[in-house]
Amino acid sequence: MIDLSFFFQSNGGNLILKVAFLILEALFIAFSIIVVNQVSSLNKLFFIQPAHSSRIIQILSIVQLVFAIFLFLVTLAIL
Amino acid sequence: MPDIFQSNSNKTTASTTSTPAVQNTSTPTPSNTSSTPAGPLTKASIAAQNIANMPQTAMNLFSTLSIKPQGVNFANQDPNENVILFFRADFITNTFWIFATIFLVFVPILFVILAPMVNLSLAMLNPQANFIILYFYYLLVFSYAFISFMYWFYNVGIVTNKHIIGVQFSDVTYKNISTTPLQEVADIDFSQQGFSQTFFDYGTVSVQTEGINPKIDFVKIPEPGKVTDIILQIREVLNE
Repeated sequence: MIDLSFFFQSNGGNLILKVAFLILEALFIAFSIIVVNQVSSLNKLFFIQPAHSSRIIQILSIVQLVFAIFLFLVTLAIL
Repeated sequence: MPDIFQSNSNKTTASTTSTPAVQNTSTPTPSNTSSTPAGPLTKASIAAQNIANMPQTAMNLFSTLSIKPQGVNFANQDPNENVILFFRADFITNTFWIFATIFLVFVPILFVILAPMVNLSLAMLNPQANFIILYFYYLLVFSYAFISFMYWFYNVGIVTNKHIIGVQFSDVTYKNISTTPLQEVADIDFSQQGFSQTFFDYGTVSVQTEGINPKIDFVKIPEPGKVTDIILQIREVLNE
C-alpha cells in the first residue's frame, strides 16, 4: 500500500495541497471568464436561430464560471 | 445584383420546404419566372434558377447544413444581403468527445473499483479533500465537453449573395473571421479522404481567393460536393 497519509495529514502537507488547489482553481476561473467573453463575443458576431441555442450556451458558460468560483470559495473555507 | 437570391427570403420555413422545388423544376421557362432573366438560357440563368428552386431548410441547434436558412444573421451584414448557405462540421465529428466525456464521467467509479487492486487509496486524504478533488474533476470534464461543443457550434461557414464568411474558433483564445467577396473567389474545390469521410459524406471545402486571405478551408462539412456546387452557382450568377 502506498502510504502518504502522514504527509497529507500533517499541517504542512495540508497547506501545500490547499495552495496547489487554489492555484489550479484560480487558473480555471480565469479560463472560465475567457470562455464567457468568447461566447458573448461570438453571439454578437452572428445570430443563429433558434435563438435559445445561443442563450443556452451563454448560460452554460456562466454556470461554469459560477461553479468554479464556488469551488474556489469552498476550498478556501474547508480545506 | 440579381434578385434571384431574395426570391424565397420572406416565405415561412414550413411552406418552402415542401413546395417551391416542385413548382419550378418541371418546366424551366425563364420568361415566365420573375426571378430569371429573359432571353435564352445561359449558364448563369440556369444557375440562378437552380438557386431559386432550392428548398429552404429549417434551422435547429444541431443544424449542420442549411440552404437559405431563416434567422441567420451576422454583424456587418448589408441590408440587401441574404444568407444562402450555412454550414458547420458534420455532427459525426463530435463522436470522439462525446464518448470521451461518457468515459471520463465513469472514471472515478472505475478508480474506486480498481484502485484497491493496485494498492492505491484516496483514504489518505481527508473527506473534504476528496470532495474537492471530485468536484474539480467533474468541473473539468464538463468544461472539456462544453468547449468541444463550442468548437463545433461556432466553427461555421456562411455564404451570402455577396460574401463567403468563415468563422474559425479554436483553443478558446483564438478566433478568426474571414470575409471574402464572392467576386474574389478564384477557385473552389473539395476533398474527402478516409473511410469515415466517404461513408458519412463529409469533407473539406477549400476556397482560393484573390483577396487578403488566400485560402479559406471549411473542414469536415457535410455534403462538400453540394456545397461546392452551390457556391459555384452563386458565383456564376454574380459574374454574369
